[in-house]
Amino acid sequence: MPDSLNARLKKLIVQTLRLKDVKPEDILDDEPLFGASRFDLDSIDALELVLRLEKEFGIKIGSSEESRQALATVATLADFIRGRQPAATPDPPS
Amino acid sequence: MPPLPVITGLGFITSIGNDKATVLRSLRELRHGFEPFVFLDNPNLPVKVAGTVKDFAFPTPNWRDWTWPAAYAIDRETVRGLAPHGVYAFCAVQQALAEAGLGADDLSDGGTGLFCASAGSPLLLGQYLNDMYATRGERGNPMGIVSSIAGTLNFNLAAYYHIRGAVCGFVSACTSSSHALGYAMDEIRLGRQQRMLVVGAEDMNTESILPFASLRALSVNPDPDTASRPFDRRRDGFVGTGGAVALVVENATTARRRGAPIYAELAGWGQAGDGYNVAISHPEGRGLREAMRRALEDAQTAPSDIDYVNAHATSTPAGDRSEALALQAVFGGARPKVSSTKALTGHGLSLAGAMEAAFCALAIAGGFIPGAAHLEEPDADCARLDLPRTSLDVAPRLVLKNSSGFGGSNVCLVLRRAP
Repeated sequence: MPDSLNARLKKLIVQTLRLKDVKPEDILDDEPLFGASRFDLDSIDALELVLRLEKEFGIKIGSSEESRQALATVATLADFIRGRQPAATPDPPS
Repeated sequence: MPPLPVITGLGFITSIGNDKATVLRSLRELRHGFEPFVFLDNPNLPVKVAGTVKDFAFPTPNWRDWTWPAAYAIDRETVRGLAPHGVYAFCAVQQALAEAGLGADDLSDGGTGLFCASAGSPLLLGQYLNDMYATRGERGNPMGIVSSIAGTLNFNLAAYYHIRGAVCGFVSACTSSSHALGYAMDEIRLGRQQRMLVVGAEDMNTESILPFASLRALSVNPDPDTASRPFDRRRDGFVGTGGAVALVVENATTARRRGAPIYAELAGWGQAGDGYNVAISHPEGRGLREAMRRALEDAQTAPSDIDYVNAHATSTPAGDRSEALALQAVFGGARPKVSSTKALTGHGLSLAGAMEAAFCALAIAGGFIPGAAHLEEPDADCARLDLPRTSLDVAPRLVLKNSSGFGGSNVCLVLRRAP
């Protein structure tokens, strides 16, 4: 059964960065999102994503190193958010 | 003799056309670019018309939501540093360079400079500041400043085209791009540059236009066919527009050597302040009168030699009257044809001077004089002007282009047909 937080993050990434020809479910949990990735995203895209994540989850992603590690893959991002939000993360209202 | 500046390339993204052929047809046939426009989704606002730019869409401040014609290549690294008017400008520049027979590499030789004019992007600046408030300054878009403040055009175009000559932006409200063109002429005449790229542009949106309603400067006539009618007795304000126009200005010798097309010579220019009011023209056009005299002197020409005046006239009651009186004072018994093409385009603010100078270049090269569209009954103060109701198949040799802006800034450019 897919991890609902991972699925939510994939949807959020596709929406925020308006990824063309990429469906949320096509993003693998452990594939690189930035740098040498198939999505052709860079640090400015990462910043836009950080802004959206902070707003969406009420978290703070501090230094650029922390941001780089957290945003490496969907799996690392989900771990980071769970670590900052021990309580269950509610799904957004549909 | 100092080097002679000539116009060798034009690019248009305007309410009356997004290419030279369409603009030319609109000017000849007096087709306007106005559409009903609901500002802020508020039907209660009395301002209901705008000079819309077609085939572009900027539905949100996020560049990822923007669209422009597929014929123009703008990569994502570039577009995210642009305002909407920067997108227009990149398209207009691509047209102008193609017209002039220049490649992007030709601009990075140090002999080419870039002068631009826009008021910046209130839309993006507002968004940037709102984001800053929302994050209490802890986060910000790194492209926020370069995409939004006045100067965004020259920042982006100079970087993209690797311009190593003179680079500057001009901010004098509605005279801005005429200033850019005038000083570009001087760069050529002084031998400092062989070529200048001159670009004027403005966003076409609520944020750039509606603030002028607070000055009661905008027309509240809801009819797109009559809202902009410079010099008419019933004119009641201007119609806002945006877009971009690019001109390639070159030393005539180098232009001829490489076989470039020459639309017109830039014969001279002049400027003068009203010394009067922050937002209202001098009632008798004192500064504009002097700017015209200085331009004529610079071009070593007499008022009676001028065939056509492309007026600044925006369709405001006070501004048009002031310009009409200035024209009568300068021209006396000589009666050149006069029209304001803002009757077709609307008022492009910082874009206006470059756009209308480019129209003058088209008129000179195309052998016609644009008519005074939408004029039914000239105001008594304007009645002594020769305002042709239709475009004329008369080839003008010498053309004068007026611009006036806030603070009483006035610029006059003189264009001449190349021999």
